[in-house]
Amino acid sequence: MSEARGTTGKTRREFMVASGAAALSVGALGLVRPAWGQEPKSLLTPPAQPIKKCSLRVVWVGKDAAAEAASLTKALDATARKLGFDLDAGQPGAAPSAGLLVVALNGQKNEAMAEAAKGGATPTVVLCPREQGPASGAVWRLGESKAGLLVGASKEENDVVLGLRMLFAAWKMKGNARTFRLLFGSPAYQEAQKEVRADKAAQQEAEAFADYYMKEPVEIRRAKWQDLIYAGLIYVSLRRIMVANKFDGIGLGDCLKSYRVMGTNPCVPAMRLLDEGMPTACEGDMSGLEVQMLTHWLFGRPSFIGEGQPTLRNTRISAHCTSPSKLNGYDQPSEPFLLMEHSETGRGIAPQVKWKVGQPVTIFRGGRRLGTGHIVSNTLQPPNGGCRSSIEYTVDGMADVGRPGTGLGSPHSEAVYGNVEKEMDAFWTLVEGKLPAKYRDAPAAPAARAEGAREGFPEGPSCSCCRWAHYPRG
Amino acid sequence: MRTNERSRGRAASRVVLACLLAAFWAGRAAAGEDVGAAAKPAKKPLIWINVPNWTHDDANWGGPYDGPTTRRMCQKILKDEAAKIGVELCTDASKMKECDGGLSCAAPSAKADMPFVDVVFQGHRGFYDQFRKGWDLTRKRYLLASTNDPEWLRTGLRLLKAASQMRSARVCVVTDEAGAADTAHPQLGTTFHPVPSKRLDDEVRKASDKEATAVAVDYMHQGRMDGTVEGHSGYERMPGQEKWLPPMEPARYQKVKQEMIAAAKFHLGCRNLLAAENCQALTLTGQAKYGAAPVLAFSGLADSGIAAAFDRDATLMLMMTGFLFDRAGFAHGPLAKQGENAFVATYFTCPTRLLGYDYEPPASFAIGPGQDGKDFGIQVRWRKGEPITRLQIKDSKLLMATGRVRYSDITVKKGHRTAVVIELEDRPGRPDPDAANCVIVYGDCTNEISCLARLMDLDFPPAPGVLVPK
Repeated sequence: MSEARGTTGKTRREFMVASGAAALSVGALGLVRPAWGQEPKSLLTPPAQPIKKCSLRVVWVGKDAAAEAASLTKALDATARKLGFDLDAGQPGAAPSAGLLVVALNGQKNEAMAEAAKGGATPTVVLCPREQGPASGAVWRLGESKAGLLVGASKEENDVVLGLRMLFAAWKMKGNARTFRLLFGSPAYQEAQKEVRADKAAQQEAEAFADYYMKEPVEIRRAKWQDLIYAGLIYVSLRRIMVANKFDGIGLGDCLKSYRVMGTNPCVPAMRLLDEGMPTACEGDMSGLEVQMLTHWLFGRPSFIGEGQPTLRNTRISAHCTSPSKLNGYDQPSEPFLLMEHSETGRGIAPQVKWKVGQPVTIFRGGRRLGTGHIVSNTLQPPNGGCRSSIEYTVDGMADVGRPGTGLGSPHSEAVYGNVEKEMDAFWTLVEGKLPAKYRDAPAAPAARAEGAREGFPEGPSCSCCRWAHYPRG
Repeated sequence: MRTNERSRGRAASRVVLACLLAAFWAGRAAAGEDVGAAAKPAKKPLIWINVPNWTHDDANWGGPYDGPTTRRMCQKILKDEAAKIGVELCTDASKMKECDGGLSCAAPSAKADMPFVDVVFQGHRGFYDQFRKGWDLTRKRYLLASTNDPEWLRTGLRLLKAASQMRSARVCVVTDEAGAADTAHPQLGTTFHPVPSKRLDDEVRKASDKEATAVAVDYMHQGRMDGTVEGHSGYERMPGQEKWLPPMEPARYQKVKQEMIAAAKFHLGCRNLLAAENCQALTLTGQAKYGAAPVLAFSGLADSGIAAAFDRDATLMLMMTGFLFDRAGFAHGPLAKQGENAFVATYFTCPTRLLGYDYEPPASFAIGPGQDGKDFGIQVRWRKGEPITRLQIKDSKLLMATGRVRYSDITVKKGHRTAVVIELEDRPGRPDPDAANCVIVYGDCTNEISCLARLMDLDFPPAPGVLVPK
């Protein structure tokens, strides 16, 4: 994408370089915690302090439905294992839970609400099926919900699991997520990479990585075997850093510096990490990372950070040098992809993932603003240039997707498979008691439009900690 | 065929190249030089066509249109395709003998001593599932096509063009065999024109250093070869003084560059030899003598629509696929077994225009050392999942099998530089896995190749879905 200059007169790349000074900076989302007191010698150094673990309690209302409860418990256990939290069955003396899930298997809402009341201020999701659901089929009753309490009318496995996922994500969003803005140029990363390169098992892992990406893509263009081996070593280094430090997600603050450190770019490693459920944000975009983590926690799907621009046919193009390929879910097959050299630098290796045309998607600008649409095309390269993974999508209900002030694509926005608007409404109601902002034709105030001002959302690099746009916290 | 501005440019450049070849030969002949006594001037294939004068709906046409409209439609399709593929059409029955092939929509046609295609249209009114007993479907170089699609006329014309081109083509055979004379292939009619290897040596020596350097540098850049003109290890330098990989040693870099220039000169020498001898394809005998020298020549010539190989049969198959499909084939060595029903087709060179001469972009490739770091080769990346057809000419029979690309092995750990892992169907009439000089081409081409084989009097195996009468 073009290097548009922001209001400060600096390009995105310049911002990235400038932000490199804060070698181990942390984000300011409220969900980022400092990882260490001071920079360790190696990023593979595990944290000295014990990491707080989430524990969620599940209460089944209706003693006669034991078989149903057992079946649902199995699904909830699987989710807890995947996301790494504990399920509390309500044993005496257990630590206070971070959230409470009440499922009324007998359909008695009063009993369910009474159980919820026992939890006090603990965030609670209450699920109670009704004999006859609403015509719209909506599960979540936002009218009956408020901050800390979400009411739903269902006991379907998908909804019960989503309720649990929401409680976990809500706990994470309250300052319990561990994120880190990594810099390839930092001595601590280079030391970690040195350790990885000296490890024979890591070399074998990198070769297995290279072998996988040699066989999986539809085609490999220009990239070489050595690029894949280097990419494999970057992947092993990043994954080990995330596992050792129990990071929920990382931002790659100076992506292209990895050319100097490892001889290739981190686009394919980022793709692999995203496909494995390890959120990895390009260019250290911590607001993009927030969306990646949310879709990971809530839906078990990776999301795509891209730079965008409107087209003449009232669609938007979103493009970036990496994209997850397991867009339908981590346990689903990859969407077809090609590997080619990185666009702007003409070397290295980057994926071009072919999104499914017609697929409904949700577009985010940070976690608190979203719109829905569907994929129109994958931008062809050549004849078009630009970042390798490039999708064109519509935004429902917007007569002009390029109107100023939306914040879309300035520089980043995020996309995920599926229309998850209702689920996000429910989640933010649980967390903050209000709905997220929507991309709709509700124009900004005339004065603001005349000035070309924002619609209350930051545009472009602005954060003092990481130089990226964040939704202001608190 | 997908095309864009650049590919149209390539198509035009191929026409220019053909003209230059002809003009160059003419110029050399005028100068009295020995350019081969049997050299024939290049001419477009002349195809005789017969579209009956259907006058009303119930004439011969079974389609939904009236006779005169149908006639106009067929003629329009034929004219359009003829202009596209460079064929001249003739409708004068008295000049039929001068033509290189015939196509008639009024089956059965009279016997003719040339490749002939009869097209029977099956519409909703008539079905020719059982042809009349009097029709001789087994006569040589004859194809009866039964279709309900007027667009198939394009295929018929293309088949006749390919058969004609095969017959009129001259293959330059560089050999040290003493007293060798021009010979013609018994079925295909292709002329093999022997040329002493000294002629090729002379042409290589005369090739321009400047042009060869430009060709070499272009291939090195496109192929991201270690040791590009900057002398760097394949990864360019960032602005400033920082380097993340050391530059190559000057001695090693110079050696690499000189080897590439030598390969480019060989390429240019081959090209000039073909022009001088008025040939449309090249066969180099004595593979051991050349080693990896033709690495660029075989790839570059194939990308320009000129078949080139170390073996006559491989050259013929490359010509067939090139003339018929306008795309380059991959001549390779014996297949190496890899797991269940998977083989590796590998060779030191491979064309890049695998999807079609006019298809943009061509296949990606990398240039680098071959196995054990020796020599160097072109590593072309094939598309995963693409259907392929593998061909072999054996005892005047055309063997073929279809399959699919699994992936391109880019590790260069075994075999030659280009290594494509394929799976092939196992059925009678498939090429021998251990046979050298077989050809792989993109696409399931069984039907078209069987049709062409029928028109060229080559035996071919039965294949599912192929209804060409034998």
